[in-house]
Amino acid sequence: MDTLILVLGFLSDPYHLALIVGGTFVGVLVGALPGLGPVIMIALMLPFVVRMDPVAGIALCGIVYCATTYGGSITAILINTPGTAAAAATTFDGYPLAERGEAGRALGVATFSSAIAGIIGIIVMIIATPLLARLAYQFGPAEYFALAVFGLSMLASISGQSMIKNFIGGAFGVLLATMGTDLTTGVERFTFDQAHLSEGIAVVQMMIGIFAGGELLRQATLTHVKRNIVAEAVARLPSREDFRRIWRTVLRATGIGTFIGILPAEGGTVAAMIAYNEERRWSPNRDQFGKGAIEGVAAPEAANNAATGGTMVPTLALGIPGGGSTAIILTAMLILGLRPGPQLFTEQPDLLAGLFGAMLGANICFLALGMIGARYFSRITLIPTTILWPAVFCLAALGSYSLQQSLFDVGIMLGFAFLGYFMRRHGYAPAPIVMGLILGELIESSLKQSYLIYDGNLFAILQQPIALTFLLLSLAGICGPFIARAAGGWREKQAAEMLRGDDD
Amino acid sequence: MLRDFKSLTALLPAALLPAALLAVAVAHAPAGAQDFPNGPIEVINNSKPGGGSDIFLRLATDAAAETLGTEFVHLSKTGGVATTALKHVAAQPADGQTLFIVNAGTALTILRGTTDLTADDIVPLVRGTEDPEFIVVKAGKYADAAAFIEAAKTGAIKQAGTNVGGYPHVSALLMRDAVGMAHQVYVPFEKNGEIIVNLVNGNIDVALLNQAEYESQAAAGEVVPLAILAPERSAAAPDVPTGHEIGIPLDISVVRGIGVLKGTPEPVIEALEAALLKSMNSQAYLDYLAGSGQTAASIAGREAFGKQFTAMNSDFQSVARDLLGQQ
Repeated sequence: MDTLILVLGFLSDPYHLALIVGGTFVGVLVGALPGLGPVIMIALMLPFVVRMDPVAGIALCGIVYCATTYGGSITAILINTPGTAAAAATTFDGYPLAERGEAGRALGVATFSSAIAGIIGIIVMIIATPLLARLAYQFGPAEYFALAVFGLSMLASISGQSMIKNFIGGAFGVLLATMGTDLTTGVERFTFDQAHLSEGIAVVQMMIGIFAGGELLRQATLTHVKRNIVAEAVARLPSREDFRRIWRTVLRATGIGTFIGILPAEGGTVAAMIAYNEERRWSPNRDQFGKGAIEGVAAPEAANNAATGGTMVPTLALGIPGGGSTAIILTAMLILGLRPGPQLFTEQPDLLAGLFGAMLGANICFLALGMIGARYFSRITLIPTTILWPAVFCLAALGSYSLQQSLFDVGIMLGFAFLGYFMRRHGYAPAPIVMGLILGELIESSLKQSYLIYDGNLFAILQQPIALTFLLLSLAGICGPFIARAAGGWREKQAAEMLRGDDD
Repeated sequence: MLRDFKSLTALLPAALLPAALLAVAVAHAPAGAQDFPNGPIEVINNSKPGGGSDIFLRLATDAAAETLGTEFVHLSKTGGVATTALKHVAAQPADGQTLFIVNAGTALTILRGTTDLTADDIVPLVRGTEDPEFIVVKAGKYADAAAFIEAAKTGAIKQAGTNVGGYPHVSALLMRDAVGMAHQVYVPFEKNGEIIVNLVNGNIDVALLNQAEYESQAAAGEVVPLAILAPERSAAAPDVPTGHEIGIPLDISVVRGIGVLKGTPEPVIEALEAALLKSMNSQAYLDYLAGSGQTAASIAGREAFGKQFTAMNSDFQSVARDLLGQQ
């Protein structure tokens, strides 16, 4: 109750409201620009934040963090260019929807899912932080290894393409993840003596290449095709039926996003990927995934925004930042004389209330901004392809360059643009590649760490209860369909099982 | 509309001419101290934007912008520890318009010889942080420091850190030699936050951490700092003995500073040093130091920092064989 009064007190200050509106606006814009994300934005703000009033300063960081995470979805949907790495999974279904002339619907779904999940994530953060923070300690390398295996277990069916092609794409992604200096041995792999490659391939630049660059080349081959997109349909927001359809998806993905957000080593990018996987596993609409299913937009967007609240949990309660953005927020807190830890909740209730109010306000603000904006942003898809895509290409090149002011990164983007085009042409979906790349790195490093921790005895991983659970779930996920098919069809089997269940 | 556009294009050459003249004039201006700073000053970092070094550089230069009457532009050039950053720096003129981070990564890269720059080609200008490392173990695992040293001399010790071949790894190797460990297993993690997690859950035995990285867990009774690897105890943690007191004669700290290329005119160097020192003695920067338990003693000028950088280079030589052997 006291907290509620403090939150209302924070929100009743016009200065704070101005921070929320201004911070959200700038954050959404920066998030939408390819290449720029929350980390760079908060780092740029830091010198100003440390001169602000502590509550307002930390609140502003929280606002920008929420807004940039959401902003990534806009360009992911409209021009197939993930604004941030966490929005990569949003392109899988968001862009097909936009291409079909339903950009407004896709943007509306993304906005709604982001805001609802973001708000739930923040509520979890404020209520359960002291309880959930301990969860962070339960996750060592063995557990991350099992979690990543679980994520990859959906690889074969992640896109509607052939299973073999999904495996090839996934393996290629894993191979790309091995580029750079090996974490445990320091050996440089596939770097071709290029210092630029010694830290691995630049993931965001690569994604911009595969998604935006590949799409530009594809559109270049389609200029003769007449598009019949209707202006009214483009700007149409999701129907009430749509919201009913994604309700469960949003809740499921919020759970996944909050959970993965709390784990200190991973954040929104992995959360979005796993939520997309799980949604594809459980959704009755799974056949539509990759072709423009609204669930495929709702799941990753809900997960990456829920993760913003989740990553604040170990940051505030344990002083362990869950990601790049929270690491800077933690530094800002220390500079402002705020010590993280369980005592923060009793000693600094106004800070917590301010952060809570600000993040909540940011989510509500981008909900309004996104819903109103969707009608106008969606019209970008009405621009003739011969004008839109060259412009997207400029944006993609600039975004690739801006992160490190490096032309090498632009080269990476270009290389992957051609690769993305030819892979798509030959029926390889981008989803398995991106999944292999993101989870492959986690699998490799956690396996090698486990090897060192358990003195070379990898069976010790199976003795960790959490790890074992995830591995068994993966096994069930992989074998389930095969066993079922052998028994005469997956769906009949499910129905039969349910009937049998009734008899018991 | 169209007519407006035409009249605009007609104006274009007229507008471009003075701009072109200005550009020529700027290009031909002699590089001297009088016209320093000549435009924004670039600050080159060797790690990712948003990381500890990036934050240090942004805060350290923040108030200097006003003193010098210019802006600082922060660029990250990652790759090969500091190779990409130093190669970029080497290609710039020695006019003080390009500053760069001087940290352990800089020293290690110079030691490796992956760039043409040598230690003699750079001037370590100012030091901004000297964050001492603590030997941290899980609470209850070892009765005291002596028990830890005994265990390390007889059995295997799993020590956590970050990237292999980087400074955290060098620190671990220096500690191995100082303790006389029988068998050190170095377990690298991607992020600093993971180290404390795996210390608390018992996956690893020991880690070198800065005060800000472990203090929440120490306050909660999860971990215990056995020693501070500094010549003297820290005012922020007066109960923790130094390594010298418990028989681990070793000093390790995270040192971050800013340097310029040698050959930069002396008046420019002096102006930069003074402006940066003034900037780092601002309240905002001192608050930043206090956030990690440091004081103004971490700040040092050219003379002290130059000596320290030379010492750092020779320290690293002692473990260089272990490191370079892994390449």
